[in-house]
Amino acid sequence: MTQRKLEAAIGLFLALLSAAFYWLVIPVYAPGSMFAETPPDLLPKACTVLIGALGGLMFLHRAFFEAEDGAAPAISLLDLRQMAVIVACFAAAILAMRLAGYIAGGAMLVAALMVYMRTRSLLRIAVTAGLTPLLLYGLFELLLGVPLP
Amino acid sequence: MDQIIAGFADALTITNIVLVFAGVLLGQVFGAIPGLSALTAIAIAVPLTYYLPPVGALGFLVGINKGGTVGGAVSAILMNTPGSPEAAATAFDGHPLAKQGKPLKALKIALYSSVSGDTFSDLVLILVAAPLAAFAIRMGPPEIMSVVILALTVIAGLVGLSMLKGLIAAAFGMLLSTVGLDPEAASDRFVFGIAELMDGIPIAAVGIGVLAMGEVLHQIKLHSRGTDDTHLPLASKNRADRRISLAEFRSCIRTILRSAAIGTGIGAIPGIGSSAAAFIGYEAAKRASDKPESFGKGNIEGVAAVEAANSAVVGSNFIPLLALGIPGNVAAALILGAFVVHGITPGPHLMEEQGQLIYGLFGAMIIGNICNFLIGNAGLRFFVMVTHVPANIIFPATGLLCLTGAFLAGGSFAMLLVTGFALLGYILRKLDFSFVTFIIGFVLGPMFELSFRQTVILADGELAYLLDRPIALSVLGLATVVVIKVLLTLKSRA
Amino acid sequence: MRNSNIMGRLAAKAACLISAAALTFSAPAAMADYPEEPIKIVVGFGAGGGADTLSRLVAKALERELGQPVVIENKPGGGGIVAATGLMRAEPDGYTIGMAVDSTFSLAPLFGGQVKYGVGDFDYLTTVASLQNAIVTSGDAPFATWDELMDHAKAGNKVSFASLSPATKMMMQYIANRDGVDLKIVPVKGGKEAMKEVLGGHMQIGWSAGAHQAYLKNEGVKVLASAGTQRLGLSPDVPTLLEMGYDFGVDGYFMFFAPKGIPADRLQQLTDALYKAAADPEVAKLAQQKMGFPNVVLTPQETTDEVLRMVGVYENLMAAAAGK
Repeated sequence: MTQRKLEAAIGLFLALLSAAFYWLVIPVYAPGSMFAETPPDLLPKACTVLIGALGGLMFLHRAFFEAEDGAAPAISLLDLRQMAVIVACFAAAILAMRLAGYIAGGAMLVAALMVYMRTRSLLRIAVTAGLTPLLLYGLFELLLGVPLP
Repeated sequence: MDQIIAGFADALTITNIVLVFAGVLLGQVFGAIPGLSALTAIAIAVPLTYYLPPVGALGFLVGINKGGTVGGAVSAILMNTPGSPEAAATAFDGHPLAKQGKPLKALKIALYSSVSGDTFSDLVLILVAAPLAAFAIRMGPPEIMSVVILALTVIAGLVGLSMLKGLIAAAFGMLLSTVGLDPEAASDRFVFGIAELMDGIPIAAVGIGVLAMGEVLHQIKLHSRGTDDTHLPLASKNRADRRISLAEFRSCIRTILRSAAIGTGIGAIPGIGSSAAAFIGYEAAKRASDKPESFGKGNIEGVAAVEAANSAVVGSNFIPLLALGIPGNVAAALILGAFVVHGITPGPHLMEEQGQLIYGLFGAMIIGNICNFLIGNAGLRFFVMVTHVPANIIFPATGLLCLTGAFLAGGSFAMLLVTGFALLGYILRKLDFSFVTFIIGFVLGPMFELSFRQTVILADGELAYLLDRPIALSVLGLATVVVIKVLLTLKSRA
Repeated sequence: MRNSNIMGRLAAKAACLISAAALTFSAPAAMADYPEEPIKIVVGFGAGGGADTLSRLVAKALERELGQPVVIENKPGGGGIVAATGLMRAEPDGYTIGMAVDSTFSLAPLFGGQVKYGVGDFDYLTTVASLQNAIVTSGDAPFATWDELMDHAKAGNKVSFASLSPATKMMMQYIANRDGVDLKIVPVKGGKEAMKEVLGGHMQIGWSAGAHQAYLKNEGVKVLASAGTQRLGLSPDVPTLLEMGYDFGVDGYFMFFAPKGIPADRLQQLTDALYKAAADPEVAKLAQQKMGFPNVVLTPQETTDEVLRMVGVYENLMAAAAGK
């Protein structure tokens, strides 16, 4: 896999996705309307066609007209896997805020991310994870009277 | 004249100065913290001002608004995490400067240009509000549409390395902006049965997610190898890198004035907003420069162009607000609410009825600019310390801030959205799809669509309607020229 | 007819106050345990706007009435739909109530889609202010009255109308169909925008829920018709659409609501307190003098009747639009 091939694949993917979106999603989720002078689905359709056409061009260009320079792809499966872990931390924190309140959820998020970044000092983790949500809670909930989750 | 003196005297009481000062401070802090923004601060502060005297209350809110213009540049420059679309372009040149060890230089030029742009538009407001307002009201749907089209053409200049990818990102941004109820028929578009999506994807969620939190994800991953390093190289100790010399400032004056004029013009027209002003200002500076290739690599003029333009909008937004009672953007609309609570009904008769109060407000604005400069100058040293904080503290904390900011702007649902958009922002960054054109498409999409559809209905199928609008035609002509020029000087690859 | 209506309201208010007093004296023990926690008002609009401002003032007065803190939570979206959807699922314990406008309950469910509640899912507690619905034009328009407008339109001129919402569009379309005229109905993003378009001459007439009141002096705008059931406070000479023979009038209220199922005694105590809070002089002063919305406080029964009346009005308009 090289960057050129990856981009060709992305182009093809975007072209196919746009086609599916145009024919399958837009008619159901953004139907036209008789009550409008300009159809509501005009702009979504125009954007989709544009993305599809540009994606197609990108595929053709990358696949057939661009010389292979052997560059490694800019994003790898490993990148995506790591990103999934980070995003999962955020998602878990949002859930935790709902269940256990803002401070607990916030502390969990900060601590998890710091652990993920391999912070060695436990004290540092404890202080940062404890203080950040407390400070924010103090500022908004107590000082300004704005409810947090 | 008596009114003017009485008004300014009202503004100069200790209480008011303290309130304006507090407002500016709050605005700068909220603006500087990634994930929060001056808008969040204003929304929170409006109810707090009900029990303040009118001039003080308005001074406080105006102060927040002004402080936000300065603060917004801070996170964009130091952390590459602009919290709102109008600061996105500040990061283009500001962050490279910080990476070169010159964060103070970037922050200072941002501060000076921001305050200059703001002062410029305040003066325009104070001196020629009435005639400008009369002009602004001539801007109907076709004119708004043409200005938005002009702003969209700057996408072409910002696509990054690949024209194809930049345009795909812009079209995707515009597609996402159509989520919600259709403005004309009120039929659903991509709502998928989720009531929270009826008003569209909140702009704060997209701004915080793609611009700020996307960068946070990127940095967290980048620093996941367990060092206690900071994310920026240590700031240079060299004096020239820590200040803006008079010669440097002078070289930026043309840019600042140009951007201030652009920002003032756009701010006077209700409904377009500071993001468009910022990008148009940046593009105009790049075009006028004799070394456009240095833009995006740490040119102080790039920072100056953006900051002068987006700050000028803040002052001139008050032109339609005071003269016509029509707010130019969301912040102005919130401040309008506060006006009303204090028994002031902005509109054509405001000057005759409440002259003293308005001069009091003008006085507060000038005090606000002075405070902005002073607090900014003192605060820069404080903000820049952020660069000494290890990455493994600052980015996790910023991640929580982004979530909190999203919650303040749109509730629990926005927290989920912002996380999704952060992931999108990360992928766009990685694959070099310009997230800036994505944001422009997203921000300008609804304005373009609404004004286009209004124009279609008003024209009723007759081209003559458009031919009757000289302003719209000339702006459209200008947009055409820009597109042709871009096509001729196309340097980016396919 | 107007007088009797006001008298009716006064009588109802008096009745409500008396019953409240009676209840407080007769059954103090039953209510001693409510409220013992803070009360939350979920506002269906963003912070800083008119609905938010009114809610916060009412909340202050309500705190005095109930002796418990009252907190405001903003849940903007869809003109109150997001807040109402959230409230529908809330525990009916009297500690969570909502604030929205009447069309959130009367009109929105008719549109279907993501609106998952019906008009019967809530108790309607009280209103706090009434909008000033009007159809306006700019001071230099070639017509000064509704009849002149209609003559102008019937002469073959397509008049452009700045429409604030699907509801205002539906109403104007109804009028246009009934009178056989053609209108260009242009969507705009709120009352202030509509004023800009009308003042700037980009659109000839526009809907206003009260935004026009600031421009009445020196004839910056002219009111062509009141779209409510009564004439407007600031334009008493302009007839209502009803008077001119159209069979609808929409008043529009900011109102409080709660999920159905709150225990009767709590509900009674809550509504009584809310009723007094909404009629608080400070709320009245803000609404009336500063925002330009009359502080009309309806009893729960009247509020419910108004919502149900509007369901009928909107159903008729929709049927007419669909059947054309």
